[in-house]
Amino acid sequence: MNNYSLADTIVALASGKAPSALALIRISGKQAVDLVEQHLGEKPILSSAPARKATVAKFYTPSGLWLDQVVLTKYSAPASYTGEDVVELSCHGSLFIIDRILQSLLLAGGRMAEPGEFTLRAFLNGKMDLIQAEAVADMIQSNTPKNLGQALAQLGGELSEYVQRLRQQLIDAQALLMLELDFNEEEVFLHRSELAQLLQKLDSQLSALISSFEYGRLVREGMLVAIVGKTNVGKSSLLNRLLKKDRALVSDFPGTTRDTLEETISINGYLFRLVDTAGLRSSTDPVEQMGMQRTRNSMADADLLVCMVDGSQPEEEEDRQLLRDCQALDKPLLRIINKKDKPSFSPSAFSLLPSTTISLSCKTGEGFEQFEQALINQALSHRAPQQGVFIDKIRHQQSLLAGRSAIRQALHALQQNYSAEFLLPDLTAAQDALGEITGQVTTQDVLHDIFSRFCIGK
Amino acid sequence: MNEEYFDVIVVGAGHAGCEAALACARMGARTLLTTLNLFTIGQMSCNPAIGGLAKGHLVKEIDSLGGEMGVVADETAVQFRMLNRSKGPAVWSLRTQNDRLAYSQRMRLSIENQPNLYLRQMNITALLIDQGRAAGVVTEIGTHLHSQAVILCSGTFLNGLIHIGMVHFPGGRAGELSSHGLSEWLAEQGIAVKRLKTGTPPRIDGRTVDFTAMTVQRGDDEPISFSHRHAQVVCDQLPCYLTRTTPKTHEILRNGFSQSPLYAGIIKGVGPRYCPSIEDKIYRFGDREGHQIFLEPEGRDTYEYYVNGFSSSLPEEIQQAAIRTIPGLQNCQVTRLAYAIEYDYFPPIQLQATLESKFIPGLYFAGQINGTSGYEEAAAQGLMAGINAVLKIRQQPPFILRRDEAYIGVLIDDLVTKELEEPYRMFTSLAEHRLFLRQDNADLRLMKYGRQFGLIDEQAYALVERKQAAIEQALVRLQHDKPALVAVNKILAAEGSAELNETESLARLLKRPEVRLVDFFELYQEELFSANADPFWRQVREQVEISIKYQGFLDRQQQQVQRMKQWEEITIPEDFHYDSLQALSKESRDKFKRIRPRTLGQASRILGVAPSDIAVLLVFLTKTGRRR
Ligand SMILES: Nc1nc2c(ncn2[C@@H]2O[C@H](COP(=O)(O)OP(=O)(O)OP(=O)(O)O)[C@@H](O)[C@H]2O)c(=O)[nH]1
Ligand SMILES: [Mg+2]
Repeated sequence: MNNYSLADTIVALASGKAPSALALIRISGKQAVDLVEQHLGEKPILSSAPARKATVAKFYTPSGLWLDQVVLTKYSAPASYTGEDVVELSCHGSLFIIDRILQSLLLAGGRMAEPGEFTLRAFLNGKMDLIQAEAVADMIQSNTPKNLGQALAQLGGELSEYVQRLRQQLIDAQALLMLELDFNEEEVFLHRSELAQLLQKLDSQLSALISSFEYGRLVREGMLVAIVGKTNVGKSSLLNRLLKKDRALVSDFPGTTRDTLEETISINGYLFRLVDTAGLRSSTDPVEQMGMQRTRNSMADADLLVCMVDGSQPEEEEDRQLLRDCQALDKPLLRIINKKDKPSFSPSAFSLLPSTTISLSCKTGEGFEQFEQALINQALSHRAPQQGVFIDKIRHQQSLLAGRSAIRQALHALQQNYSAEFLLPDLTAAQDALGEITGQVTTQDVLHDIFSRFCIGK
Repeated sequence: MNEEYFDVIVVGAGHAGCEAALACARMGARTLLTTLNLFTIGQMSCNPAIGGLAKGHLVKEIDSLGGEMGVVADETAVQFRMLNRSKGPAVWSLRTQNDRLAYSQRMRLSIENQPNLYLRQMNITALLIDQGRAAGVVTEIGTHLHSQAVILCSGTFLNGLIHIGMVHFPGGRAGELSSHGLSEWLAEQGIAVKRLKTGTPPRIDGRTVDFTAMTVQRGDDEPISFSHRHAQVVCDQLPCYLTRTTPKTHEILRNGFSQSPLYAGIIKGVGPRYCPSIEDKIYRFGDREGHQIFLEPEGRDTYEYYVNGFSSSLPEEIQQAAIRTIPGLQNCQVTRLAYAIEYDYFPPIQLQATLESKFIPGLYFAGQINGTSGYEEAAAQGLMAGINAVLKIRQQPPFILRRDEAYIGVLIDDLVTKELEEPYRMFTSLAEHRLFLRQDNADLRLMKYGRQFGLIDEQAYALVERKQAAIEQALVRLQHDKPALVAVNKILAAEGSAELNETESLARLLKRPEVRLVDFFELYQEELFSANADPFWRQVREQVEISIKYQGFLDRQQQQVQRMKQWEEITIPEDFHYDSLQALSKESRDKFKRIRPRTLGQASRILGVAPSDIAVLLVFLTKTGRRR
């Protein structure tokens, strides 16, 4: 990230990609009001306008050309996002207008904001702490629905508390070992068996957290669900019904879906990435074969397989083969027997399975409640078993791995009867690593990780 | 009016003052050392011992920088003990028992023999200030002595107040004058003054002690010296004796608590947590199985013993009664009572890392007036202040040791960074890079600086360079030398170590805890492998073995050093405007403004600063182009 001065007034397009119907330009800094005011004609408008109220004005270029009708909202320091004077200018979203307005503001003495610079200023002005800043960065990056974002933030708090508890145990042990450094010869303040126990416990607790990353990823990115089955069993229909819209083509013709199709939905705040696949059957059509290869790939990547059959038809060898293929992947599996509405529906004719089997109809929607519940249960089943906290950031996983490896070093030295001064550096390293998660330790790497993910305007 | 000119004037001839004055004079500065009493130069005001845990490291470092403490300690020792031998080499620490009188006389001799150094008995009551800078001193009788730098090393003598029970009287050490006027003068200049307290235990007549009731503690069979100037130690060693307090002792002391000036609230200064008075120990740690008491000889030509561990400020009759309940001391005659002393100190956050005042250029503070306890801490500061005073006069860059270079670096960084709550004492736990800061490698770490300032002679430095080269050569060579399998297995079998199928390099073999270089003497008839090698080769071998055996630990410590360096490299401008950073908590902001850390690393070591405030500084300094 560049070194940028806080003395500058910064300007950026804060809304998404242009062109769009409306665009939002954000200006922050001491001169924010001034920069805009220069372009509003003779009479002062913005400086006398009340804060936090929308004001309509005409925006002129420096050469006096009338450009656009804009809506201005002024926020006075420190009651703004950045803690500085801020003006939000919304204008029409054409590229031409946006460019001319930005140019005018830059010409008047503004500077283009760097990515994350608004949030950086908010942080430096005490408007948010690093964890909140990181949450902003996360939010920008993820497609997580808002309510889920809040849930995640809460979970983040739980994580930090949990890790702090683990860290505190290290700190306490370290304090006792330190005492040994400062006293003569054989004084022992912390029994080595006790320390070994503690370190082993921490090792396994960290290990559990490290593996909970998988769950965190599921929550953040959504669980990848591959819907597979023979042609014409109703896979595309299933997707459409879950999405509550006609997303995928549906037809009587077997082999309608040629390519995999992915859509994200949220059920009760849990994210799922549903993949509709090309039906599997023996075919010589090269395009269809390519599609079926993609189906196989999706099955391999999936976190959950939804294996579907048409309950109005007798079970065929192809159904059984597919089922065996699914089972061979050793992944969570849901069995769907579709077309329950049809008179010829006969679920008992199908091979029995230990996994959940649900009969439903994509036509009437019957059985979907049960199906959605089954999806949620799958999401829940990935939850880290013991502590109920999980990690969802690579940064956290890295820190935990570093912490665990330091703890293992210390444990190793302990088992070889090394004295306190040899154990302490590793315990310190472990403590620092965990501190990166709780916010007790901020390194340049952590900062880089947080601030490098911002886009301009945030 | 009588006027005289010097380069540097050092006020006070205790452990700090002696080192400061010697360093200045040896660097070629015309130096004056003043003292209240010429008979008590380098006086050991507390216990008759030098070194000990962490402090022994300081003495070795002082010695490697060309200081005097190690030399005098070696030559006046009555016992040498390397502590912590059962632990790793990083925490081995040398301690000597010393003849108190001999130490003082020997130090006085060093000072008298030093060209460029003038010693005077006089009481300094004010400084001369010229254009805001320290320019000399004024004596009690009005003499003006001019200099370019003044180093204050006046110890506990500033407004010293001695307490024995409810009785108190002014004094520097029992039986000596305290100094008045200077504190007040400095306070008038706007320098903050605070009070601390320390204590000293009673002395007794050894002829009235039953030593048979105690455990004898003798010195090492093969003593190792503090100073590089003494390759071999010849010493007729005296023993110390160990005994313990009893429940009866505690009972008597408890009954006297109400008459302790500490509990009665008469003493305002804050006392040390780590070497507490006996009443403090009982108050805080309870009875345990009694508290350890060491009898340490005061010297060769006296019967007096120092009762280490029995520091107290209780009234005479309670001290007398309590001490007689200790095994072996039933009939002892107390020759000097224990007492507590309160004294002024100048919180050292008012100093730069050179120990120069932030407010009065040219004025340096070293030793107990900075709130430290202990001779070694004082001596280290004196030496550093002396070196820096001369460097400054010569307009040369300052000499600041880093925390990963020396305990001295830790000591001074702590002093100028952390606000003291009690007398500061050097501890192993305070040095985070302690695996590197060993007593055995102080010369390798620091002698180059001593040489650079002319405090270490050419010959000594040549030897250490030779040692460094020999170590490096040996390390390379041991990586490559693979002794024959049969021979190795024979040696391993003899050491009870698992035998090999395929031979390995000596370096790999050495990683086994039970394997040592001397085990291979049969194969390599060389000094490096010889148990009877001269000290030079024994030291080389020691360094080589430590580097190889603890390599993993040392490597990981090195990573921590590197990580810390990143923080030290982020500097904070001297005039940094903390008020402009809204995100800083008020508490941290006030601390930053008071202490004015030079680097982010130093800022992070200030006590009570929240990590989130360090994050704010980090973001600001690295992301906003304000960095210089
Ligand atoms: N009666 C009834 N018809 C259904 C049901 N689900 C799907 N169908 C019909 O079955 C046919 C095939 O449905 P699709 O959803 O295209 O099947 P598919 O599995 O995606 O087929 P391919 O893409 O060809 O592999 C369509 O005519 C659907 O209308 C159901 O529950 N009941
Ligand atoms: Mg389809």
